[in-house]
Amino acid sequence: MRSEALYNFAFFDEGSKREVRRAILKAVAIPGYQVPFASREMPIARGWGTGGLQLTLSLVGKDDVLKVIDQGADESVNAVSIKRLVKGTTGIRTTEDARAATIVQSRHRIPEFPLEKGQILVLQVPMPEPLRFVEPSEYATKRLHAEKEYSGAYLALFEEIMKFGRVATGADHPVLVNDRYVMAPSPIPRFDNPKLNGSRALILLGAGREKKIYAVPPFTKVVSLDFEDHPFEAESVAGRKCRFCGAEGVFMDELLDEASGLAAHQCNDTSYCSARRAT
Amino acid sequence: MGYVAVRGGTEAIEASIERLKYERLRKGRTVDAKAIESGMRALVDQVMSEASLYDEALAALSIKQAEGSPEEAVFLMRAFRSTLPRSHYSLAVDSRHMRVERRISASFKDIPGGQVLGAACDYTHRLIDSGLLGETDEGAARWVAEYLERPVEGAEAGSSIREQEGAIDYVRSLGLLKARPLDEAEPRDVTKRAIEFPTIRSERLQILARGQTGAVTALGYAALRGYGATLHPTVGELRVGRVAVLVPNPLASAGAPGQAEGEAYYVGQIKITAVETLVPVSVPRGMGKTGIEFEIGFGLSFGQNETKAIAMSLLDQCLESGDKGSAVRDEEFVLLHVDSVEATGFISHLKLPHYVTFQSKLDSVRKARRPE
Amino acid sequence: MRLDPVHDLQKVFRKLLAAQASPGTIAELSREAELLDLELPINKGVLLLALALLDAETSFCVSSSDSAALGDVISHLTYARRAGPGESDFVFVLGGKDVARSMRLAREGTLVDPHLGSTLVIEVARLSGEGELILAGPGIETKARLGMGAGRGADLDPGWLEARSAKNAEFPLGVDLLFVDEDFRLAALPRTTLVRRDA
Repeated sequence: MRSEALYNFAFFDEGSKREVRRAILKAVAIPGYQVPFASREMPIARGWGTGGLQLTLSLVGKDDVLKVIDQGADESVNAVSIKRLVKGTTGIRTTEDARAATIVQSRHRIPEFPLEKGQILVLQVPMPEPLRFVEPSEYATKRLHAEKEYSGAYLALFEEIMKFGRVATGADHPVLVNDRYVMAPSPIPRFDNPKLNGSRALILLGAGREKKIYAVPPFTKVVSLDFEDHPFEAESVAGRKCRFCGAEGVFMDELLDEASGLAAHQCNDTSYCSARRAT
Repeated sequence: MGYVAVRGGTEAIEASIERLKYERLRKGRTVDAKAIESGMRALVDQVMSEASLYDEALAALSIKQAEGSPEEAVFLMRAFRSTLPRSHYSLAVDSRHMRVERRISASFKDIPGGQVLGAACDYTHRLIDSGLLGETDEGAARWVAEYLERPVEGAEAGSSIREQEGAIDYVRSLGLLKARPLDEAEPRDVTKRAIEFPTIRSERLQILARGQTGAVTALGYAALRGYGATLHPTVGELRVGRVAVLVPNPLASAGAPGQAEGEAYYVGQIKITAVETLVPVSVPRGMGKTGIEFEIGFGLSFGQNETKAIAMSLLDQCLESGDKGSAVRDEEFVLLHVDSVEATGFISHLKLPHYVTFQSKLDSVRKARRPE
Repeated sequence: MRLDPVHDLQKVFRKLLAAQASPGTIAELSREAELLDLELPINKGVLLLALALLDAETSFCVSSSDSAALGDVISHLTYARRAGPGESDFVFVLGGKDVARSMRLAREGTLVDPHLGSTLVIEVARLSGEGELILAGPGIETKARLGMGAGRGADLDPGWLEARSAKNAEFPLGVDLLFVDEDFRLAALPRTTLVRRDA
């Protein structure tokens, strides 16, 4: 009973794909605005990337080449699981090289190799609503976005400055898109926020459980929320060097080196690191 | 220093899947899906309800594959449901037109047609019966044959479509039901169109009907204990039985309103539990006086899942009232947290690696500690 | 029909997405149009878009010299519901009918739900990367050019650009436009694109 013949190309039926595709088009027309969509259940669990997966499965065709990463790594168990599902339901080629992919689906990182025109980046989003931590009600946050009423988000940052002397956000630092919508960029590190601004590739963001799709078209203005006297600051990478490939200025994983007992760093983007070592 | 690549994700996954199969088989007995369908009716019904997919054989197979986990079985069913092309909507089923197997009312000592206890755990004593260990298929078949030969007195429950007045109709005839205009609005399908707040009643009822049994039960319990209902609800009628499903003629012009039943096709019957709960509510009568009328809360599940259907009827009434006085009256709180696949998915996602977000937070923590 | 409803419509969608993500891009649908071997009185490029995007969950209307018949074609192929111009998800403006009027009547969405702003599918003569329109905004690196051409009865009414500016004046409210020409080329002007005529 469980044979490939039971399932359509890319798992779900054409009606579901059409609905996602319509949502994608409206998302591109209204950068940063969360378009609601019906969000089908997928064979992987909610919270594990069903939004990103629905985007990828609605985009993908026989000629696409797919890269999937999680925490920057292609071999991360969840990335492998998603890749197997897409490959299993489509037969398309997969790659670890960001430069060779037509579609890159990622959880929590933007690849270090800059993406090019014609490529599509799909980001997995757990909580699409950047104002959720100041306002639990969806009814209310929809209206805050409608009125461009973002003082709550700024106030939250201001409170951190009062408490800690600086903004203390981690990943998923909110951004303002096209001078209109405040958007949750997904839990990418602050280090990756600048990559959203003026990107040459199309960026799509999917939240399956929360049932929202949003987008940043190429060459769109994306600015991380900050204050003039407390400008946006990414994580420090100064002084860090990858212990395998020697790269500097990229986002690093921090580990305890067993031999020396000191903190060691390595490229978080594993295929960027392998590509550097291959040359 | 040699580079130890963190590879092997694929192999690790394959090994994990094999290990899972080992756990399912290592005690040496396989479970027959037909046996599950036959002897685990309650679990099959629960899974069908939460999956919002009525197929007993498929539910039984999902339960087998899930090793009995309702969470996993519902997930399997829902994912399968996602792949099914959705071509037709049935005509609205009136749950009163039912081949009744069980029908009771707590509001009245007796109701037209009588209280039919039917098959229920309610009247058993919960004493584990070790005699069941020795059950055989042959013994079961003999017992069933003998049971069916027993003479039945009076009206045969389950053999005729009930057309009598129900308890609710009686209360309505007394003029005690809160006046409510008939709502003929086309129901919205929450699986095809994401909800927005405020929701309409058809959306709320669907989400509750598909809700995780434990979640709906817990919130219904909270409502009953005082977080929701301010006065005591009573089950006006609970009925379990089979209803016919009809689909309008697809070849008639699309979207023709008010399709005559004569032009519909019978596609089968399903077993459902329907509950109508009477909830007394205060109504202002002018001149500073207050009266009491009844509102109806409605609950429904596939198969026989009475607790959930009753809990659902309480939550239906809580959410209808609209005021967000407490959590169980807040539609966002109730509707966004009762879905099994969503709730279990997001909770279990905490098992996924989060070291990038953690690294990012670590950076902030370090900077905040540095003296300026 | 030789058109593969899964794979060929996926390609149509990807071309449409590329055109809308980077306004000024002109996509070619001639290969897919050729596979659509149905003899119907509608531009095959328009039909491909209808097949790729419409179904029983969507509403549409047609503005043309034969709206009823063309509306029948689309609803039979897609099962999409017909609705008035102010309630339709998709508005087909075919054969050079009054685009400005259709735009004025179309749904522009609300501040709470701007995604409800309609998509207009407009037939034009000939799309090209040269022409009198200068485009800027999201999706465009600096500037892009677009021409609609002139031809047999598919010329746009000159007031269409002003009607668009008025309709899209209060972003995020607005409508999104898709243009299909006689050779099945496709271009898109989402509401974010700033368009002016080359003086």
